[in-house]
Amino acid sequence: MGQTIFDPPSVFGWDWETAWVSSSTMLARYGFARDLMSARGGGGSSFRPDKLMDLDLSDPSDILAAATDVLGITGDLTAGEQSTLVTYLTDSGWHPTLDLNDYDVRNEKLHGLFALLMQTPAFQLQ
Amino acid sequence: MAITRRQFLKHGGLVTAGTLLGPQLFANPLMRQAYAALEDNSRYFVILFLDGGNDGLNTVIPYDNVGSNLRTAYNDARKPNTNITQGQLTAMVNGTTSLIGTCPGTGTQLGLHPGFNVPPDLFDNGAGAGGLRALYGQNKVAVIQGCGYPEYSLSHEESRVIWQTGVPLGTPAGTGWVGRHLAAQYGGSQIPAVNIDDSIVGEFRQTGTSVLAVRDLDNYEFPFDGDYPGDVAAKTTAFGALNQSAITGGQPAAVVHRQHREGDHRQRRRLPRGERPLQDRSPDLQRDVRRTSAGACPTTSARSPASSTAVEEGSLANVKARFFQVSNGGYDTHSDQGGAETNGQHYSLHAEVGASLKVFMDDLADMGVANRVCVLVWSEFSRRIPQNDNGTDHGSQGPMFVIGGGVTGGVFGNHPNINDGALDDEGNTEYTQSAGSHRSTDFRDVYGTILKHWVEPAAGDGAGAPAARRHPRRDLRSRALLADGQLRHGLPALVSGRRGVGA
Repeated sequence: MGQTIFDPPSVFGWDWETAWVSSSTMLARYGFARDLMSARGGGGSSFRPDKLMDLDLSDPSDILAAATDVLGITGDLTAGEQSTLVTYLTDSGWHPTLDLNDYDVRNEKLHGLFALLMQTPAFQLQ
Repeated sequence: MAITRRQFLKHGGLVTAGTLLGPQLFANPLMRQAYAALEDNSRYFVILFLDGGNDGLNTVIPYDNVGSNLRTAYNDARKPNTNITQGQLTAMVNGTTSLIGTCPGTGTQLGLHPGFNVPPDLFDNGAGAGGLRALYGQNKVAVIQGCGYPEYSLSHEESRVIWQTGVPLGTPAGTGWVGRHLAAQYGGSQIPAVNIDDSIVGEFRQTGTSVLAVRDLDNYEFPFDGDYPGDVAAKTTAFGALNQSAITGGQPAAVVHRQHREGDHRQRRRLPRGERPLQDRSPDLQRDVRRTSAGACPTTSARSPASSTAVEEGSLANVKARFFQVSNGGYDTHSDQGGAETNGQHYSLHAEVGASLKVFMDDLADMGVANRVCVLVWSEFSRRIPQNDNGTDHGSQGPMFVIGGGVTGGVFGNHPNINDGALDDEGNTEYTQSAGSHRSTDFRDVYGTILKHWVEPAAGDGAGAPAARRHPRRDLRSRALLADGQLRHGLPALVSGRRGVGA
């Protein structure tokens, strides 16, 4: 993610300010987000959205709002970005509501939503 | 796999590391893809940074005392461990000695470090045999001596920034010397430059256009979670839309998205995986490199597994980069620098870089495009004239190389005066613009020459006085450095902070 351990770019360390932002480091961070959010199975090292938000939510907009709140980026997404993510959650409207208590729905769409949210400039840079 | 300096150490020996990296230095698929795109007459510019402060005195070495006493001064300063003897400079390797031309200022015979005249058996398959010395023999190497700036900095970081920004005195610019050209000539949706690193290198910094920073092409893709295969398409669409919105904001993720979205998923072919250790590649490296250089994908050994989602050829077609930057580390030779022995650190570094350049230029020559590529080699400073036990401390000005089929080979600029009495209190050579046989070369003159004569200005540019008239020295005293023929109007603003101005 731009800071290879024990391999700083100079003896000053990572004295870059915002210069760490690059296509390479962003992808590394996106990959890290993917790795975090695809850890399933309920073990100690897995991602447990049930610990962070209410799984009884079923409206996609409510689910999105809860997830952005968890990640601390409420208000940082544009209307278009929110629409994109609702489209993702509902599979373009095929599933207008979601049952997050369903094992597969939760693991597919809710984990996917968190990964996508973390794979945005809004999350990484704001 | 990029070999870092730490990995050099882990591999337990520089010769080993050199063999691993060797000709791979320029084998990045993005670079190959760029120079394989032959539909136009574009020129390509590659910057090779020698990270750590390359010892210039043991890069271009005085052989005799003709017109000077440089050889005597050299022997006084470098004994015994880092001394390259006259016999080592005249030893025949690959049918030639390591001697090159004479110093324009003094007439002193010069030689390249014997590591640049690498024997064929040092690398697998003999790739790169002859190294930089062989390229010099082909008239493709301009050796520019004594490049530096006044009031030099001994700090790696400070001096590197000075070279990258082109601003030696006063407040460093926030932009790089190539970056200013990129911002002036390219739009935000274009990707004119690629650097092989995690971050955008100082030379390319600017805010007007996109620079691709790549360390590991194998993982250069949308990192999606494949546990629910039926959801991948929806994830991909959402990712594309989310990062598409970043393009207008000039966010770096735009580049990521472009790579992913604009390719045709069904027709894309996979690029060879370029960042692997040499021993992982097919035995016939040369053929492999040439085939990929020519745009033909290897069908077997270098193809990624079908399950891999490495960046693919089609998706990179829109990069069209013409500016590249790579770096090689390990030049901070405070100790164990060595002389001409093949297991010395400095020898290994020169052998590695020289062989890489040779393979690269051979490929270009085979493709008939060697005259469209120019490579600039620089380091943040040279090293102390007197050696310590078996190494050298930070120094002042040193040589640069400009390499390519369109380059007028030979020796340019003057050798610094290395006589003990001429050194400053630190034991470094003095930067001087006084007339004489040791007059220094301002590194920005090299930049200016390249920008004006090599990097094409946009059509219609030329408003204002030609740089050659306004800043005569911007045109290196050796105007013929690049055998371009036509004098172009330069872009004076690209090389800002003239010496003594705005300091």
